[in-house]
Amino acid sequence: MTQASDRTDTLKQAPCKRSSWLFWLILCAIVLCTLVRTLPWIPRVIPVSEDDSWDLVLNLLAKRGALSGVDYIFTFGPLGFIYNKTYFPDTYNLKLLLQGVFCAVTTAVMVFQSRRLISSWPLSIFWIFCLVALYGFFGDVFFLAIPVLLVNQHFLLDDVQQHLRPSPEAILLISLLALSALVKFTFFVAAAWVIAFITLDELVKKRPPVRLALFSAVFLAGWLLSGQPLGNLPTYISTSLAVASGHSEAMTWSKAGWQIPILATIFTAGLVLINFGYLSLKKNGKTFPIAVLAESGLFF
Amino acid sequence: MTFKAAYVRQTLDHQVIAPSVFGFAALTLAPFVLKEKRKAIKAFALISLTGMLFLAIPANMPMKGIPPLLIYPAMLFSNIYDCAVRLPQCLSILLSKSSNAADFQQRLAKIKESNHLPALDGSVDLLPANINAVIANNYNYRPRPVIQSYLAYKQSLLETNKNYWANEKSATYVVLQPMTDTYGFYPALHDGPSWPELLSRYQPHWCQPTALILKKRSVPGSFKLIPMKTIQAKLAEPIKLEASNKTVFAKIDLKQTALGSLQKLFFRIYPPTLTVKLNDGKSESYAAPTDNLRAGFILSPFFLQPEEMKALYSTAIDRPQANNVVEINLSERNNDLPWPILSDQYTIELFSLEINN
Repeated sequence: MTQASDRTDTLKQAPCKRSSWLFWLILCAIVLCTLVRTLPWIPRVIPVSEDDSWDLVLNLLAKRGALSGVDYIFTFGPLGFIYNKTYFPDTYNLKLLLQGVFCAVTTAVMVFQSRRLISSWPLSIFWIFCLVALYGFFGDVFFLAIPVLLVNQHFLLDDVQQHLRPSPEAILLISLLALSALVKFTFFVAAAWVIAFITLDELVKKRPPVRLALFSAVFLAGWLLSGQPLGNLPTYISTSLAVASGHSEAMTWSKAGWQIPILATIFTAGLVLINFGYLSLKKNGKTFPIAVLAESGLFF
Repeated sequence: MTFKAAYVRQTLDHQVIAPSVFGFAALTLAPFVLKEKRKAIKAFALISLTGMLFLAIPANMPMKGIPPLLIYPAMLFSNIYDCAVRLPQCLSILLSKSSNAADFQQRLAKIKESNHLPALDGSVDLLPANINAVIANNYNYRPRPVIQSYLAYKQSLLETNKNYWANEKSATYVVLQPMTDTYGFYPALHDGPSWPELLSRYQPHWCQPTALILKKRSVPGSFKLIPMKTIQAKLAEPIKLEASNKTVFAKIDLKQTALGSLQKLFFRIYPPTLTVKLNDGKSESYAAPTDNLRAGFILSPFFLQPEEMKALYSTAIDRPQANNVVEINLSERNNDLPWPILSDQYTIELFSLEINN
């Protein structure tokens, strides 16, 4: 426990060493570069006609304000049109804006975390540079980066025992997590999983579940603001569950040599989880399995 | 979530999901580990990060002409390259000078050209999946709830689509393109339970090699499924069907083993293979997901192309017999793991589908 508190002190002191104007300058520069690197300035056309079709139709349905789970049943929710890098005249500007918000806030959180963790600015910038190489690469990591950063923020950085109010980074990440849950049902499941274990952690530490409350409030506000009636939410979840539960038979596809990528991933992901488990044990003591479960759910 | 998203449909486009998300997670832990004092912990973390970036990433996203160890460094370089390439486009969009709108119209024109379809004056739906043709033709799109047929692979989803056709809001026209998809389903399994509805409530309006277009009847017809026979069958053993020119609707109850169900939950299983032998001697093999088989589909005659679908609207006497299915064989594809995923025994219920218009 002594080690844990020493560690927390170090993390608290790190930001104070930086001059404020330099921090904000670097933050703005990094966010701008990441926006240029990541957003769909050059729209992408999906080469498979079936996939191109659903991608275009999600935009058309969003334009019409169609109801998820009622007017259409798919693996994407009311904000599904922002998932890909397609150009569709009626939704493109909104897609740029929303992806821009996701990208800017997520990148800002990376900078805030680096401020607490890394004392040298060049090293901080290099770390974010390495992260962005993967972050901007594919739609799923763009959105799943949010629960990954949140798990680290909650279980490895923030002191839930001492502070009732979530940190600004946690508030930003939880809000983004709730909005990402409206994009794709897989992200909804990932978000629900992470929030469930964060809530469990709060309850174990005899804290009220403020993070769950924040998540629920932003999710419901996003649901309503995207034109979806509250009464349709259960239908959306049940129909999306049916779609999600059947795809591992009907949509199965592989080619020769499929084993090597999977085994390489399982092996290295296992090492990363052990690494996370150790860090979590050191920070959280005997409640570390909650953190490991939160992280492993994202991996599975 | 990430694992299954990457490896159920294990294409190059999908398998990159896992190492990019896990690689991102590994990198986010790096600064925490830098603060560690114990060298062994630092070494372990370095091994896990290196493994992810230089083993898992190259294994999942091979890049032509780039050695495996240089793939992640190439991605780092692409940060700079992409910024340089995208900046002018970014500025042109912000200054409202981009060519995106014109490019999009060109793209739609190409789709329209490759899907020759007529002008239609009412609402339109399309089976099985290439809905971009509807957008390219600027149709008034009014889809069934599960908008692409290959995605209706659970009984509940198939039933939802089936029930939609009786709804007064259902589309006036239905465009039936050749019943093919990426996953190789047996053609009639695309929205299988919907076909009796389509046969009774719609009629052929236009037929070309690109599509059969159906138009909603002013007075909807009805249909009956008259039980013909129930067969107890064994996997991988061919079953002969009685020679008949009837439209035969089948419901096949094929269960998964306990290990098969577990494997499906945590990883993936392949759908069974349905091989049909036709009256003209041809043989065809397709994927047949178990839920689609159970929900029901037109087993005979075999249809794939618009002309063959149009023939379903002819009377049994007028219809050519070449596509009648005379034998079927359900078998298991080689499983990824060393155990069977399907039960050995299954049941086939055959019905004669009668349409009354």
